[in-house]
Amino acid sequence: METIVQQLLNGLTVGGIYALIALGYTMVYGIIKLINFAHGDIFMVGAFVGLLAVNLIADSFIVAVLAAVVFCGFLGIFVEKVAYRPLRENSPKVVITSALGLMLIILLAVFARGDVAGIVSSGTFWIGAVLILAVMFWLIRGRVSGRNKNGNSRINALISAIGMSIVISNMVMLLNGPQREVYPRLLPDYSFSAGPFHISALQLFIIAVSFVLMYLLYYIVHKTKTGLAMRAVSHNLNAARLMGINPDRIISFTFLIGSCLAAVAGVLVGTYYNIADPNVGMMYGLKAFVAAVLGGIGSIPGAVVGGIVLGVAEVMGVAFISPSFRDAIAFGILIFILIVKPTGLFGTKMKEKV
Amino acid sequence: MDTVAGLFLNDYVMQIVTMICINIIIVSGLNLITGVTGMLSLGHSAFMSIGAYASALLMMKAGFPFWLSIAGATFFAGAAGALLGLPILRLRGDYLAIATLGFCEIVRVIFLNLPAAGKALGINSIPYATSAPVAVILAVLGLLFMRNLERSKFGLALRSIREDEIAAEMMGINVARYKVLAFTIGSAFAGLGGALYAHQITFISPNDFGFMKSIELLCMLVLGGMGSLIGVVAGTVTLTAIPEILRFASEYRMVTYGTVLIFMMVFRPQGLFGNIRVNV
Repeated sequence: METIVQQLLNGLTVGGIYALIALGYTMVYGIIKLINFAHGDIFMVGAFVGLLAVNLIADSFIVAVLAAVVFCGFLGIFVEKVAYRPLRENSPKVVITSALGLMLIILLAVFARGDVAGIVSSGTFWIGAVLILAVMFWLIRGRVSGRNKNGNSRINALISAIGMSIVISNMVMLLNGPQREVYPRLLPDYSFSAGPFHISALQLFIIAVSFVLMYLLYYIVHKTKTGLAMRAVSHNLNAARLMGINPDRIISFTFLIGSCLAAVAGVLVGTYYNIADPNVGMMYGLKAFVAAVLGGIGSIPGAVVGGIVLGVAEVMGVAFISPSFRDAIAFGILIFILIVKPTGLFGTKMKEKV
Repeated sequence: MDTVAGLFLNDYVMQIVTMICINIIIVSGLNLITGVTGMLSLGHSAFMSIGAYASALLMMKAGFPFWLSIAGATFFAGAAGALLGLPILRLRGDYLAIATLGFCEIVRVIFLNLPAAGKALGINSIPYATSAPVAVILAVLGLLFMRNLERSKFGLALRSIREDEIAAEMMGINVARYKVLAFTIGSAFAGLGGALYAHQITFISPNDFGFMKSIELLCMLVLGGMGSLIGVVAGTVTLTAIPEILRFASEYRMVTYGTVLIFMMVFRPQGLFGNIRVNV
């Protein structure tokens, strides 16, 4: 019995973090029907930016969170503009913005290993640059002239999202190296005993932060004008445009909020496990996505409930079945839910249009 | 003359040619599932791993000859594809993609915990049997099979499902049956490729067939152009050979993959040789 309650608390902690990440998935899916695969990696970047800020500025939780939130907010908007918006719109401005963003990524990757002067003076670099520019020119011309129209299909957006996820996680590996980093203990951790249970203040803090942020999000979506616009865009993008809403701004705003929540989750996970790992983004992202599907994708309370259920189920599975099946539990739940009730616990059934 | 032949026919080049042929077999299976039928699968490497493990175990534990064990591997992977296809075929688009991804991770975790499969260490010293001629012949046969399949009435039904599932159903096509069949055949191809892979590399471990391997395969398909066999060959040759040429820059490999995926989706969604757009 004691173990169960103890594990329940651990599960709530992990679940709160999953829920924070899942909110980003569910909001983006609700608005543009896209699984933002890069979201898990934005979470991981949040942890690393927090670490960087702590090393550069001050050893404080607030500094880490602020730095991570600001950076990831911009990163979320960047991801949307580079990888997703050109799949929705055909205007030359959008396409060229995306091309410039991609070039920025390539340059950053080339210079990631330092020695900028050495690379610039080498012939290979210039040959590569000319080749890439020529290909880009050809592609941009083809795209703007309408020869290569965007398919506006879901599969394209999904593959683009996967590409973005790979780019972000490997960029962190290029800049930082593939090794894990030790995360400083940013918050003092008191643990106290209540009867037979050991309760850690850090766990309570994580749970509390998660719930406060979730309430904040609920408030934004349901009580503010921007939230109203978000719901309108999610309902019908073109009708919202006719009502004087700028859907592009609303979509950017959605990515901004989701990424900020993921950034906070990143710093919390770093502080909790004392580790920042460039490889975890995909796995956390997928599990948070499972949480979002479990709760019913597109529903904010659903993401919260799904995250907590998943966290508890996983911790219980590790404690009572076998730790080596940890990753299989989440995906087993996912496949089960998809087969039995694809709309999730709180989802609404979507009618199929012919 | 001897030196020129020596330049192109050495072991290293032969190994790359074999690898390209194996990948062509696997990616043409993925093409049938994703390019022709329009079901996005992110779990193709799971069937590859099933084929690889099945063939290695059949040969080493049961003493089967090479041809029988790769046939068995093909059968097992196809059966696994049918078993997975039956429950998840009613899912569409993103949900199907995620379910296959989940399946891929589950298969990996199972192999990680299976004592017969050597757990995390995998299986070592698998007998080497996939020579370059074997791989080339099987790849050519596989491509011919796929070409004829696509041109047959069966292929027409699959393409109609890709274009519009509801309209296809209205025309009297048993969508569920065709989807499961396509999934089964595609998975069997992945199993065959996986078996050949096991007998070429001679050691396999569960982490060789993770989610990233699926993405790599998908990347080959997307680069060449979904739904086009020329595209399958072009994409596979490019993405198998380029990492070998750029071996000195191997740390950039994954960033390049990611950028190529975004590039193609933003600027040329049909791929290099594709002329269709897959609607999901």
